[in-house]
Amino acid sequence: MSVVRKWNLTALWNDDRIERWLEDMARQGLHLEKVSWGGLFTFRRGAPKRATYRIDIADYRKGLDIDYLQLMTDAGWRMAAQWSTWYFWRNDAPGTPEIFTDAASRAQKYRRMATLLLLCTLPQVPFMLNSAFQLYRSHEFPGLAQALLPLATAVILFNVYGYVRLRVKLRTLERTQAM
Amino acid sequence: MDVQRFLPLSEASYYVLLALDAPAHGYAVMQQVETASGGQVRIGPGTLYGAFATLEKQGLIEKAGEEERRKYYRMTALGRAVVAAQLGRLETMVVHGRAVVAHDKGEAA
Repeated sequence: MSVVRKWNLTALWNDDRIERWLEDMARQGLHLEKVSWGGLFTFRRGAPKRATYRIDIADYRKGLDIDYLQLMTDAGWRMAAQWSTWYFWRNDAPGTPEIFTDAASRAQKYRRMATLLLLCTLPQVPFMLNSAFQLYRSHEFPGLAQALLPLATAVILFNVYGYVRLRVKLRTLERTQAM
Repeated sequence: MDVQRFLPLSEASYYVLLALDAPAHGYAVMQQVETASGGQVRIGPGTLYGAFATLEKQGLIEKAGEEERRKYYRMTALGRAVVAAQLGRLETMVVHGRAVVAHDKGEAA
């Protein structure tokens, strides 16, 4: 069994792009096995197949719900990989119904994503600012301090940008809701 | 029981509630809704999972046990009242629609 690792740094809020990429990989015979921190995707090499990949996010308060797993399995979906509260679902049967069939539930998924992003970013802010401030004051590693503060700022800004993109996506979805 | 604030029910919610007349689990509800609506209403598993949570929070359905990792739900008394009220609304719509359409057909004849 051959294993192939690929990096994909597409932000997870562009889930449709990642889904299309995974489907592309499957068509080339690379099937998702594992997702690790930092955008590392591990594939197992096999026969080329037409598969559908979909990403879903669990509610951070509930975590992994057996009920949800069983319902998805009954409906024909298999979990290709899981990373934290992100689930990478896959199915090989062409007629399988979509996981989300209306705008409201799709919007709820992006709301969960936005909440996760906020939860990951907010606690980091005081810690990072404090660390950077300490480094500046100590004058011990001037080079390091000068590199870290902009880096920390960039990470935080990137997450905030993601949060904003998600709110935009949500607003678009909610506007297309049927009567 | 304040039934009015739940009306009008969406098509999907209406069918889901009716599918829970007797205790049923997620996938069974998915199949029942598709059959009952003649294939017009299809609910995905992710959507249904969210709908169950919402309907339970609204008090329209309740848990009815668990079997082999599948949670069973059923309508509550409030749920039944809401469905009955929605049915009443639909009946009014049908009667009115039939009257107008029949009148048009009568004119065309």
